[in-house]
Amino acid sequence: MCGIVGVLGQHEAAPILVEALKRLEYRGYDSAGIATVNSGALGRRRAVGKLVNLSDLLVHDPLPGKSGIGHTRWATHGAPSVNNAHPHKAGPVAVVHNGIVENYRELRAELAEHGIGFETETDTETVALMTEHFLKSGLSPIEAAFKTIDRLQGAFALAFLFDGQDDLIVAARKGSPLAIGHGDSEMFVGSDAIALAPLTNKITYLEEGDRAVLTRTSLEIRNEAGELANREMRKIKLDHARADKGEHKHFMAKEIAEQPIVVAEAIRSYMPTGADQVVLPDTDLDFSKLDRLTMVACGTAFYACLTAKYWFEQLAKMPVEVDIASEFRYREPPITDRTLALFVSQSGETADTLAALRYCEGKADKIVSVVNVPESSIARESDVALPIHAGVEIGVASTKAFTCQLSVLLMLALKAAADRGTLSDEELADHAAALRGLPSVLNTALDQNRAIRKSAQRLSEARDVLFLGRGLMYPLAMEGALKLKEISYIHAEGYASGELKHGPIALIDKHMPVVVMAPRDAVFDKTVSNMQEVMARKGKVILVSDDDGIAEAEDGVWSTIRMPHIHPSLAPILYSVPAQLLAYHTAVAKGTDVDQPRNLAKSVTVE
Amino acid sequence: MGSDNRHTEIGQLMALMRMSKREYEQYLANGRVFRHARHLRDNNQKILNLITSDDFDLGPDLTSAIGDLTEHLQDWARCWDKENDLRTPKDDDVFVFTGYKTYPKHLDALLQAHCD
Repeated sequence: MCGIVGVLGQHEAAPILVEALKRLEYRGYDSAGIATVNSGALGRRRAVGKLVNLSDLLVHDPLPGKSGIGHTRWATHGAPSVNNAHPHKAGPVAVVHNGIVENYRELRAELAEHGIGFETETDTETVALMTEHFLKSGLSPIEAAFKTIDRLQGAFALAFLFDGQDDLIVAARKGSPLAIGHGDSEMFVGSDAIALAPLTNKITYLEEGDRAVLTRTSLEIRNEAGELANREMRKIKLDHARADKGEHKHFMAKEIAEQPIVVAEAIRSYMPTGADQVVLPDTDLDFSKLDRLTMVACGTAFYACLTAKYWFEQLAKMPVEVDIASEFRYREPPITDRTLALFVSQSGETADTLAALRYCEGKADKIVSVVNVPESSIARESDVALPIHAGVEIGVASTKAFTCQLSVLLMLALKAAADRGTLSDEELADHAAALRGLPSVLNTALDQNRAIRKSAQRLSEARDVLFLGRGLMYPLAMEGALKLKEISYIHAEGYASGELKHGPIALIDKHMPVVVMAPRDAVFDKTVSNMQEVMARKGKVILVSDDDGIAEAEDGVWSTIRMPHIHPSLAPILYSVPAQLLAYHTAVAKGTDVDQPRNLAKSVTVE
Repeated sequence: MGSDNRHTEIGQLMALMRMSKREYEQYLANGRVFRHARHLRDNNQKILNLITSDDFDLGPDLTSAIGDLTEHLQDWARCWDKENDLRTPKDDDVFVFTGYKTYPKHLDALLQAHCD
């Protein structure tokens, strides 16, 4: 979602801010702006749409100054417009903000009583106006910013810049992440380390409730209680933070291609050479002492959890509930002290998932998270955080994080099966061997890129698409549909094959492509029957299967996508590749913005 | 459970080599400019990091071929770095260098045979 950057530098700030904002483009945005202090005077430039519009504006109307803050905005309160774009300025203060100030109406009413008027519909303007109000009452810039922060409810990350103060940025974090970068007589602020990667590799992450006072040569952090706080400065690996498409047209294409590499990393992390069991570092997690597993996530991570439900139930005989994070709390589900609560999030900052995690605190036996960012809020608030080792994922449509999530969840299910004694040693060895061979099989799936592109060309002309799967392939059918609609804007739905006759079959006609995910497994014959029902109504079937499945069922299908043979438990991981490539090539054929699809944000940090 | 990660590492290596191959093709097809050479350098370094890491072991039948690959990549990277230091090129500058040990082509077939 929104991205924040700030710089107290030795060089002109505007180009540094714009470049840093470019590195945050992946989070999703619809307007952007910067503010600088030059010879003590605060100025700002803002533009709607892509960052190139802001760059063009700066060419015609430059903004000098070596101190500045910048922002990419994903609209929440108020439409995408120049007026609503950040930074918001009120007299001598400019503010950039990520998150939502939940009590902004109450604060606006309070300011209105003092005769203060508003120019925008945003919650952020309230922050700027309140700070100005406190400045007028005689407080210093730091005191005014702190007093304002004290009044805010909700989730936010903030950076303040002041007229007449070219060596001061005040920053705060509550619910939305914020990183401070240490340079050589320079200091930086960013929503994440990626934004700051070329500027510095020395990062301090603010913790929940922290507020920071930055000058070029100093950083003072206070916790929510106002006490001085000592936060570790870490040296991050720039290689991990650098975002580069390499020779690929899009980040999504690169991330799809990287899957054998990162899945191998995940497997090696939890099944190291020499270990004959899944090894979870630094935990005494024992599934034999647990009665139930509750899994909570959003979007693609939710489909990873639905897939894992099959694994935990089939392999470990463990009852599992899976919930969408945004609904979980409202059910008020009873969580017993023999429940393991498991949360899955790529960014580890997903607001709804974090809220669900907090609901389980003090109720569940243990809180475990599966995340891609080990420093994230969700990881830090868990008893056990299991990194997925996918590396930085820039494409808004999650690909490599999904297959890494699945790989880690499958290994967790195998650990559960071992703890609970529900699989024999031979069965565990069989699964482990198959998992260890997965990266090679993923390579073979990627070799089908050209054939998948051909199918996607045809798919790109469709208005609606159905995805069907049965058993372990049902959640993947939903994920395939989500991937397609996210980036190609084609309406798509995923259904359990057996549900077809209970409604969706009414949609089938000669214009309806139906993607059938069907490895030649125990439920293949039933899925093929459902596929025949589609073809009998002139629906156009794209069959994704292996050699045996295609040989048995290819008559009459529109096209086929051939996958290598795979252990049945691993099929959802392997078949993710054609689902992702179908969506990718369809979007490319349609000419949509693959890496930054409209209206979507990579890290959803508001509820 | 088996404790051998050979197949995992072969899959990982093959994916990295696929990406390097793609980057080399782009380098050849686009005037051998530095931008593409830089991408190739980054990816080849990832391969080197993997195959020279302490726990990387594909077994005795691949030791010699992996040794040849290591020599090729170390030599190639040394020549790349030398040329880069000499010229400090910009992204669109032509970037060509020679004199390194050639790529061990027999490795591809060997790795594939281990996957089949």
